[in-house]
Amino acid sequence: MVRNKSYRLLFIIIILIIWEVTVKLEIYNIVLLPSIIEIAKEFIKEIINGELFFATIYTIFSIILSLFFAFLLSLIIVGLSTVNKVIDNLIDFIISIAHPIPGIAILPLVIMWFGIGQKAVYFVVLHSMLWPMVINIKAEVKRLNSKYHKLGVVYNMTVLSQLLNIYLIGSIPAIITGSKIAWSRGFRAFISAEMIFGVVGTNTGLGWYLFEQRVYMDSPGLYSGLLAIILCGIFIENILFNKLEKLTKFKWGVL
Amino acid sequence: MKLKRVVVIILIIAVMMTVGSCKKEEVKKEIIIAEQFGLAYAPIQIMKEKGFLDNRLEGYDIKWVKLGNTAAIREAILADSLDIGFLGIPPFLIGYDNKMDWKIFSGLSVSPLGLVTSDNDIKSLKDIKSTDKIVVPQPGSIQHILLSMGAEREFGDAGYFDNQLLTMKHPDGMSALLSSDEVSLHFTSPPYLFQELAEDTTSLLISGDECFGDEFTFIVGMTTEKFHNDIKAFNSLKLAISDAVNFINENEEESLEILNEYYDLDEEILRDYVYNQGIKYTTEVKGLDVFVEFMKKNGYINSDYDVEQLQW
Repeated sequence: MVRNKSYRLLFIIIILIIWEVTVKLEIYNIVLLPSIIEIAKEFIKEIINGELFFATIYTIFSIILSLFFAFLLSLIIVGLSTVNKVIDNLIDFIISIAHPIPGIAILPLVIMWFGIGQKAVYFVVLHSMLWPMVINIKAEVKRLNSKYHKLGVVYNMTVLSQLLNIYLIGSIPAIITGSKIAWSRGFRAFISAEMIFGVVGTNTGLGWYLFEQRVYMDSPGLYSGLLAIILCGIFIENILFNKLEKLTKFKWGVL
Repeated sequence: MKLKRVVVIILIIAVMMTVGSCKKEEVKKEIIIAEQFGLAYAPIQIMKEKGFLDNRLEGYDIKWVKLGNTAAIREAILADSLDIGFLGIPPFLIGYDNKMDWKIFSGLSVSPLGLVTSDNDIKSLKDIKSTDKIVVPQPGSIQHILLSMGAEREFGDAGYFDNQLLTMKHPDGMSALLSSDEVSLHFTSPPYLFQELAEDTTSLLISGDECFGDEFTFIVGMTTEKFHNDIKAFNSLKLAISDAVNFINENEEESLEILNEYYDLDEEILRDYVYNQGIKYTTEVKGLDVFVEFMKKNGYINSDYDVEQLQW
């Protein structure tokens, strides 16, 4: 692990050196490849003056909000699927249709239905997040049902107790995995949707931030926006969710 | 062992980067021109169809490309895959301000622009509520800058409307304005401006000239330093543009025949739009100094520029 990390660090340092040398040799136009110091300055400036900082916070906040709704919706859908075989089958069918559609592909339709604005973006994000979540939780509930259903009967547990103690607690690892996938899909969808049709309001996220840097030709700003996206990705997907997954595996064992 | 692999990969990347840059220094006799859509660009289509440039430059390979918006034109020029582009003055200035080595070689047209509303309650800029959305092609476009000029005139604040912009291409903006309740304001240019105003439900809230305070050049042509250094090609380009502008002003019938292929409009309507609604084709560049001053004052560009320094 430690060796891996130091190789990665070395790799980054070498890339940065090559980058800076390329800039100094003036092989490329400065607009295409601004110097790293320039980018770092811009990044810090934009964080401090709040523009990039709030765009990042707004993006994360929007996705947490969507994640919450995606979670609620998937509980409802999974709940419905346990009612009987026909509904279960139907839901599987809907998943197989809806899951492969990229969020951006339904954007033109969503605009016609919901108009231009935040609502449309949220719908696209929700669509991207919902299906992976449903698939994960549904599979887990099915597994728990075949394994522990009799346990509930033998111990004379009430329905509520079964739901809480067997199904909800049992599917926490699946919920975390589902959230992790949903997060990464939602994050990408949110940024793309904002970039494709620029909605400016008082609140805007990283996608709009990138778009704005592009039209004003602010390359250091463009690289700063990308850096913010990379950092967000690393922090949330790699650190936060991996930690959570490990924690649950430690507590519940590898299921 | 692993370290060696990393070094090898990095060397490969370094070699690729240098090779990539060398290729661009090859001398080629190819000229790439971006052709845009809109009546203000009509002389370009005349130049293309009449071969004004091709006739002068035998041995050159002239390629025409279509690019979506002004940001794409700048990016293509940066990537060295475009020599000549036509756009509004503000996006040109933003590029120049970011150290692009390009300058104006000619004006192309003076044109009416304007903010169209489909809401009868909106009679002046003051009636626009903070929840109303205003459609512009993109931030930093001439439409956005004119809107900001209008806002500065009216409210003393150029950024007054900046939180209610919506970015859409002209045709999308037009259909949004005419069909949806959500969008009731569109800052646009011909032919969309004329088409929108032809509807009964719409009215012109403020014209580009009113925002600007005078007449100004809408579209200018620009080219890179590399192209400028090829004196023969550069002079031919200047002559070809002025030929095209003269042609469109002098030969009404033949011009309309050519433009008919490009614009899906009824012939009489096209004649009206091109000749009677205020579009003027001229190589003169007007209002450059006012744009520079306004954009510098409001932070759209960082430095002040001399009008001379911006033109070849």
